[in-house]
Amino acid sequence: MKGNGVRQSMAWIHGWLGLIAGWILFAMFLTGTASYFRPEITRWMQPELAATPVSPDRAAQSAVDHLQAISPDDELWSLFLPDDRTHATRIFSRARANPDPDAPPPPRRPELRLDPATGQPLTARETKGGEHFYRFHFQLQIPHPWGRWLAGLCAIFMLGAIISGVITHKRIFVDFFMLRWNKGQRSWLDAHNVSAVLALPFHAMITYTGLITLVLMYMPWPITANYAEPAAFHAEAFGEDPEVEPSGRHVPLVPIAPLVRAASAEWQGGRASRVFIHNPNDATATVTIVRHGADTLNARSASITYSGADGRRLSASPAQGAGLATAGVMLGLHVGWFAGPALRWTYFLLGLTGTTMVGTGLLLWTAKRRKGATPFFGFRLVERLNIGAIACLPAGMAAFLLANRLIPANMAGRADMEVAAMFWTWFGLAALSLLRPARRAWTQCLTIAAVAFAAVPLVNALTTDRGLPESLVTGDGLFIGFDLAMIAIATLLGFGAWRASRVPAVITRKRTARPPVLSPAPEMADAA
Amino acid sequence: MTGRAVRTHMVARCATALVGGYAAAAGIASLIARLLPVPRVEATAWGMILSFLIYACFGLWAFHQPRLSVVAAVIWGSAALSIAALFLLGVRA
Amino acid sequence: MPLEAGLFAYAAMANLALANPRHRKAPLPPVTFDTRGARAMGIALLAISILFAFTRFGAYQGAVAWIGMTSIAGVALVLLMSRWPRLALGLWLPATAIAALCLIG
Repeated sequence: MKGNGVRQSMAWIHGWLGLIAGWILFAMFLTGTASYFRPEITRWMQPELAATPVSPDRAAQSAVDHLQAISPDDELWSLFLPDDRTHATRIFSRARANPDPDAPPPPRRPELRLDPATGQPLTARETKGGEHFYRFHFQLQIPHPWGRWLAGLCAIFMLGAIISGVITHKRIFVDFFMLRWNKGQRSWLDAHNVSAVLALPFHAMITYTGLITLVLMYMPWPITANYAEPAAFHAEAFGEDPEVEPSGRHVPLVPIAPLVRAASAEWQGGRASRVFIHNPNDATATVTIVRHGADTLNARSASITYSGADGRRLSASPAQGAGLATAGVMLGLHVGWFAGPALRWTYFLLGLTGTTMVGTGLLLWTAKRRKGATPFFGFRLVERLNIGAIACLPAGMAAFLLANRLIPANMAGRADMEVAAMFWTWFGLAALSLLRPARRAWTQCLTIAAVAFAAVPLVNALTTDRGLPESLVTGDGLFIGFDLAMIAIATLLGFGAWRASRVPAVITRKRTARPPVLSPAPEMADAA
Repeated sequence: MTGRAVRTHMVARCATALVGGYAAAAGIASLIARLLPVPRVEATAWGMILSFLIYACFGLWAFHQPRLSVVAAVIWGSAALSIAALFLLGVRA
Repeated sequence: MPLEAGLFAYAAMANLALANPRHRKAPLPPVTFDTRGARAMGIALLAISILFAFTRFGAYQGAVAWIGMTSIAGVALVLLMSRWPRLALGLWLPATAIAALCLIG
């Protein structure tokens, strides 16, 4: 901050924002990037399930038939219908609260996963699947609501870091293509600039829209300025009707499949993705059908509500004005549900670029201060946390996948054990790495992470009948892609380990070859 | 300034940026939502969308302006004024 | 194949790099325009990549696709250039050719 120009002050704050939030942001970027393949990871983690594509109306009907058999008097049934990426119908149901006001609220039921064709519960290993990375990405495995607040704080730091970074980096277009290896600090600055500048639209978009995904929690005050009751805003904005008290008059729920087909016809063939049934089998029953996000950029999808007693069309979500549509598109841009395979991979690579930007920024901080005679406490702390985040988190993620294959498929509580495997590996490895000198720790942790990822296809081949040779024979695109991605990630981490093992030798040679530059080049001062 | 005074100033500056910046952003975004001459649901959406940009700008400016008194006056002042205005205006009819 | 836009964007950025004296170093790739020609070619290819991003992905996804693929093409170009500059820059012609073939095929 000390300095008079706007560039100096922005450089100073850029450094602090990145340093304070950097490690959490690295984890958020990496797990968020993985979450672009959330349904695919879930399918990989339940290898015993085979894909049987089923139309949304049939899946909805089979799910309702099952719910009618097990809990017909619930307050709410929420059905998440399968599509070409998910092969299970996911159901959340809520029992009616005890009318006695002193009675405890009914316990939350776990998610129910059904075979869309038969409506019977799926018999597959218990796992959180890709949902785990997705949830961690914005909840950080911290109790609600603190994880979301911490993620939001880091996101606003990221936004500040992006704005201040752009102001700081005056030579944005000159350095566009410049990446030089083996030059110590200069190389890290190059890598940070390249990964930040080339994908700047993505970084700015993903940070801002990330805040927008939880805006109702982070910034509800504009609602209170305009609405005495927040529920009125939700009704006006998203067409969410306030919950209706059941009449108590029993009227059997109408068949659901014709309603799903009617909604789809009204959307000119748009798919249904979710069905919410309030007060089933009551005269006040309503069936709200929500359109699939893959059809539009706007993730706040249209919905139509029907009467569950006689099938009449009651209402549809209101047409969105410019502001609500902007918010919906921002949400859609963040989650990328609209993206087909090509765009999804583009998103994935952009997410890796963002992860690289955060990681190289953290490494730049240490590279810049390495020349000091005695490493001070802050330097050692940052270096150790860098190792813990950048080298050890990937190992933890690989452990999560390996645990899925190694923990017996029918063991009780195995889903939580998979999650525990990730955190024990991540933090355990980070703790163990303290026993090694920093440079060794880098090499060894990255090597362990690389080996762990390389082991995933092997363990998969040994424990399932869907290894790479079989997948190639059967043309199982998902499993081929997954195995190849694991090998690519292992290669990348292995390359990192190899570089980490030889970096100092190169610098020493350079130092003996020519006298060290004592005054930093002007560009270096830029990103200080 | 002594080291202690520098630290106190920095703590005050950080608190102003983080807490005051949030309060000011919330107040101004809500004022936008309250006053924008479009349907209230739309105005609410625009207020929420713009809030984070306002927050980020306040936060960065808090570390650019060298004089802490100016930072504190502008940020806490904006927060107080906008929130007071909201109370005077009341909820939109 | 939905990747024409990205291939054209790669070719465009390689030409823009060749138009920049800092990156235009001997030995140059076999097919290289002079500085002004490379800049013109770069801009033209960028325009073509925008066109095909929009025709392939539609009006809304097109903008997302173009910005995203251009960013990734840029990252790929810079990574390659940092190790094998002549190969990286020379690839603009095969990239254009493959993209054009995809369009015909």
